[in-house]
Amino acid sequence: MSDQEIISQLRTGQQHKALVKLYAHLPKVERMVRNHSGTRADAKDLFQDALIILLGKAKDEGFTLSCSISTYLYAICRNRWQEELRRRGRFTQELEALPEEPNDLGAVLADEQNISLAERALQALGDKCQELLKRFYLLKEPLLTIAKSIGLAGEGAAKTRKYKCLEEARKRYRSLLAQGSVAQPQHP
Amino acid sequence: MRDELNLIELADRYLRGEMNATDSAAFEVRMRTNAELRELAEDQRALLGGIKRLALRPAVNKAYRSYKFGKWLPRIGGAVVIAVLAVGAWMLVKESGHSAEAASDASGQVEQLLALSDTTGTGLPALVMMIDPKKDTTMITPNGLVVDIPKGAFIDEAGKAITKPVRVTMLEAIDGVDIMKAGLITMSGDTLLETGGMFYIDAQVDGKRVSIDPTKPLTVMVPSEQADPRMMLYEGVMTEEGVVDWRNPKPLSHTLIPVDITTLDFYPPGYLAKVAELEKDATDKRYTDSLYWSFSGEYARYAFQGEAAPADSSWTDSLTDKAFARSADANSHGHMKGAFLFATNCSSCHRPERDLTGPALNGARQRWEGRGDIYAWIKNSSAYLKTGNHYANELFRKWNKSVMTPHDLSDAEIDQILRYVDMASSPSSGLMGIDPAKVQAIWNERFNGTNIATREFEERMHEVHRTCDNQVLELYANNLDKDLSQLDSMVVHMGHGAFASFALRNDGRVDLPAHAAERLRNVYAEWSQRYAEVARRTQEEFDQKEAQADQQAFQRQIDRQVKDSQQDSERFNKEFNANLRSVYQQLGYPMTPPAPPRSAFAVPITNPGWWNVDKAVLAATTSRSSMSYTDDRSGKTATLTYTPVTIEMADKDSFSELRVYLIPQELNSYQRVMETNGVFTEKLNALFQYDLVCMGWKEGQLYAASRQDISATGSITLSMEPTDEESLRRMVRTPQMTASLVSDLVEQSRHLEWLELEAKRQQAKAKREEFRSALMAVVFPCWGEGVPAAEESPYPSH
Repeated sequence: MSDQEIISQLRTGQQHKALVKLYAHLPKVERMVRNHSGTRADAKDLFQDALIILLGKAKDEGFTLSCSISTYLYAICRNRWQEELRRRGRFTQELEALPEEPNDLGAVLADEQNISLAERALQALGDKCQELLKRFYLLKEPLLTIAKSIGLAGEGAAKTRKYKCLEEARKRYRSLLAQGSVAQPQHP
Repeated sequence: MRDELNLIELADRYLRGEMNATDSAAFEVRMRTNAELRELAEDQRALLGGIKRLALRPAVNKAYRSYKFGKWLPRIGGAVVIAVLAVGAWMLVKESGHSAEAASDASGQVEQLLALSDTTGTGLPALVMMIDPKKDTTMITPNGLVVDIPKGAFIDEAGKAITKPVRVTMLEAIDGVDIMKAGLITMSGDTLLETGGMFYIDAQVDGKRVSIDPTKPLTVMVPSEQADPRMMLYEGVMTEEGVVDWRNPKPLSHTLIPVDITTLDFYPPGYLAKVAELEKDATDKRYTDSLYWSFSGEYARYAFQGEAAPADSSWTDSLTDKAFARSADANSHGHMKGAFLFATNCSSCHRPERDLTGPALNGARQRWEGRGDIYAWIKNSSAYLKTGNHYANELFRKWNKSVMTPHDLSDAEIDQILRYVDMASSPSSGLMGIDPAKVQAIWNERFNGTNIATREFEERMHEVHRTCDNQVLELYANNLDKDLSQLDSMVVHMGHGAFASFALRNDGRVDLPAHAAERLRNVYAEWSQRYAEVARRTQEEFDQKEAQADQQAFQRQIDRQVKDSQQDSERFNKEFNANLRSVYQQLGYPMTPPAPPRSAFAVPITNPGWWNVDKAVLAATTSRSSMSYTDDRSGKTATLTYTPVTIEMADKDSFSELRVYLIPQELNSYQRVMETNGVFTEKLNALFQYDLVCMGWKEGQLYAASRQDISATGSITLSMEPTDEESLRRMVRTPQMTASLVSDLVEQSRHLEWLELEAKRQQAKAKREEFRSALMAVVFPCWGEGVPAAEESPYPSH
């Protein structure tokens, strides 16, 4: 499968196959992370984030790759891991620079920082909140339908609940921002 | 609060593009002047991104599961069922306050699903396939479910295998969204289940549902990142209210079915192939068995010193259920706890036996001894570096200044880890493979009807051989009352990652009668020891016998050589004296009897004062060449004549040993004719009349030939005839020869016989050694890794 085919598959409903294919690039990231104080789990998290970034980008009609997918994923992981190592303050070496970097990397990473924090903030919410927000924002279901399916009294209740959820998420997001942390969720 | 909610709503609408141009512009103006609002909008944007990402994550996770294709929950046998595989939490069923409304909503759809003879209606994409029941079929669904349909799995009402094409319909609701979309609920009675996914299989021929032959169950593998042992298979049953109730939970791990243990193959991988390759009968199990068991002797010979003290197998001994349930728990099993702690805290950077990001950990405690505080170092290495400890700083520099993450471990836990790494690395470094005696102890009828006598264990056994770690085998043999999968994961913790794929299969066990496991444990312990002892003793006896034979052979060779060289030097002296006498006579001098030289080679050097004539004679005798010497005083000339003779035999090459002797009739002596370049050739002294005798051995039979008075002949051809010692005695006897010399010459024939036998013995030994060493690497997969090669010495030192 060529890179372009993968991108178009990610765009359409057949993303599963493409994603599975993309995991072939995971070992390289694992090597990089494990060679630099990270664990396999760190690598998996980084890589999955990178996949999600790519997936999000691919849905964008205007998106074109400025380099190979492999480089794209690796560059994201590499830069974020460098960031993480700096944050942990435990690393004196620089990771090897890449010969070519995707040209939108800077923008991607700047966004990435905040969105990844936002995701963590959302993950900390109850399942019901997450469900509600997903249905509302992504599936664009009417509030009434949502209320029914997750057991709320009605549209009004769902609306209030939605704001409460957002409010809570924002509060958590703010506090994460304050910590300036880009740490991955801890693994047991 | 209200204000803020309003603002959020505004930002929300703005970001989602729901505002009209005017409002939107107004909002932007407000944002420019109002930092708080700007921040709010920023946050909201990030959160929307986060939600999007949250929704994308399951797809990425799912792809990861497919990527890790090896991780399967296997073999859900059974009829046409809808199943809930409970694992992980899906948001839909997590909360217990499930509204009745939602439930009944769902039930309608479920009914549809159950009554479904065709496809759609559930919102789930159906997978419909026509399959040929006469062939094995494997289907892989878009969600990664693998359905394996063995041939002949479908039967009609009469129980006969169906041959017509079968229409198989599958629905799957593996992740939360699918389950929601299908409106399936996951109640079992009043209990809410966590589900790992549901699937539905239906098989029809000509519109009629068919059954599945219970002896040929379909196998459905459901992808799952983690095999939760609590996961069960439920059957969906429609209740009167039209709601599906999930009933009859069955554990997924399937009960193992024992087979006749003698039909299984517990040999090391490649053993039978190698035996066949070495041109032995690999189909004769009695032979291959006893050959394999015999290698326990080699094991005792080479591996024993290298192995960690066998007494230290406490953690592979039988484990109590409690210990199992809380295997990661403290105290009960220090080693195991150590292994778990190691796996979670250290394994990303360390291995017990080799360097990784950090150094190999075995012997770490020893290395730190007297150099610093290893506990403080492990707990917080950066803090410890600051104390200025020399060794710590040295390590830090040596390992690229990468910092070891701080570990929240107690001293006791650190002890357990350090004990584990020392233990984990010692056997693998010294081991060569699995002791065949241990395999012999389990591979017999006593273990019929146990986990050991299963195809599942057979598969593991091959891997066990590859680990070269006897403790792995001990673990399985000593815990027959445990599920194989439990033991598999312990083996993984012992450092053998290859067993992870076994662990994930959730293989269960063969249920044993009470106390059977304990009884068999004793049997195993007793018999593995006994077999090892027998093999060791056999090996030792064999080695001893060989060593003895080698020693005797050595002695015998030496004895014969000493005798031969004595005899030859006597012969030389006699010939020398005869030559001398003859020359003196020819020159007309009286014989000055020279002091008989003690040794032929000592004469010329230590007695330079002899007359020239003596020297000339000595030189001629030594080189066996003709000589002509003219005396200055008397003017007379004396000659000694040596004429070459060649002896040939028909069929010479058929003899394994062959000797030719010349017997000068005038002397009480004999002389061996050496073979040079394949020809027996010697020079005859004209002073003597020679007899010729030739002796040889061929396949246990003495052959001889002789010829009298050969002095004048240049080339002689003999033909060897079978004979016996007595005839040989008559052949060699000359009037001059003393009886003892005759006996000595006859004895040469016995030596020949012995030489032939010895050559055969050596040949057999070499062949055996070659054969066994060709098998060593197969029987003991780690043979040669750090095990010194056996020393080769043909004869024992004294």
